[in-house]
Amino acid sequence: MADQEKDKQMQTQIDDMLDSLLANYSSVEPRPGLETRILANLTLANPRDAEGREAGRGWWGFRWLWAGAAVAAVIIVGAVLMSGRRHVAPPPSNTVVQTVQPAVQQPQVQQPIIQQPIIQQPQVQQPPVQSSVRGAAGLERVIHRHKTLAPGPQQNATLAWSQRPASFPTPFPLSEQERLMLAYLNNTPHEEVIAQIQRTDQKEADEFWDDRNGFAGKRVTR
Amino acid sequence: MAGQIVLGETVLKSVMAMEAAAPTVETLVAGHSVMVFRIAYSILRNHHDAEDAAQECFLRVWKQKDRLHEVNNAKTWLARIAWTTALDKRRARRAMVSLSMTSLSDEQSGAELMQSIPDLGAAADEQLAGAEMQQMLERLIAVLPEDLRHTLELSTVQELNSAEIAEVMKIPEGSVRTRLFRARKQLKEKMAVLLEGRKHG
Repeated sequence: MADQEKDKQMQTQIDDMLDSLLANYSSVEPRPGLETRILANLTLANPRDAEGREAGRGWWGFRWLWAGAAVAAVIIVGAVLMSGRRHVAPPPSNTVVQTVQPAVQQPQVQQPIIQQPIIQQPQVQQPPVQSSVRGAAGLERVIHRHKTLAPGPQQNATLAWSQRPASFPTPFPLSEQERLMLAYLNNTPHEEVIAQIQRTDQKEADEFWDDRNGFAGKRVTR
Repeated sequence: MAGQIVLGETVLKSVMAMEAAAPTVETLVAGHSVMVFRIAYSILRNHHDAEDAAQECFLRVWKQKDRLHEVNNAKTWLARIAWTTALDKRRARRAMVSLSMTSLSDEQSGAELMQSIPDLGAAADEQLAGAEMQQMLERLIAVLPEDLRHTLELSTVQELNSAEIAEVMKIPEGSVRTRLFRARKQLKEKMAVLLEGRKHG
């Protein structure tokens, strides 16, 4: 019983001690002038913030400067590329090549093969208005023609495809000589023609052997 | 005339309400700097560190000054900032200096504390209020579990009641009371052991 009372007393004593200790635990007073110091520190921090903002603005200014320079560079490069394309040569489109080529190439290559492009020419000259408009372009048009004289492999392929006839071999109209020959064959009897051929052959053979004997007679005599 | 007075009172009330609703940093410093300091001191146990923490707390508030009108309860909001600032500072300090106190086991701390406890003789009340007892309590609180320790530390700040502590710690008020009860119980048990040992030894 006495022990229990002692324990109770002890507990009460410890409770009181703890309460008093905890009450004093944080009941401290700051040094005088805490508010002033805090406010002074904040006003010190404020200009620092302002400086930081100024610095930020400066950085933003630089960023805009760099961005402006980049945009200007892009515009200049674009302009140079565009002007370069105009002066050098635009990649000739199919229509440009087709409108110009027949006029230049006809006398060089395709005339001896008879006037076969009669069928193709209307197909090729699809935009007649374009060619007439370009006719007024003068110098530029001349440059285009020179460029189109040497088309690339792709252009060749397209030209070949566009000029390729539907049937092979191409039914060309007969030449004057051929027509005469055909008329001769039609009007002359078959035997006479054969005799004529034989005579011609004999004559050619004689001429051949005469020539041979003249140059290498020894060998023939053997 | 009476209408004008009523109108004036209404305007005054609305202005006061606006001021109350949207505090400035200056009003917060004027109204709560001591509370902030005490919260910091309850954790850091050092005047200089506590003042540093208070400065840092109000700097954090300053950075949020454009959003002060969104704060519902400025006191608990500020108390939470002070609490987290002090905890950050304590963590940083512990990282720099490894405190032997935190690594003490109960037996070790008991043996050390035995020597530091003054003799409870005739002038016991005076000695209890002394610095040695205060140090002993600090050591005992330091070895409490973290959740109990934080709650107990905040409860020692006079300006905060249990509801406000709950809001600061973002826990229910009942949990605050339970933690406080458990913390006090553990402290009392350890103190009883120490005092018994002192008597017998």
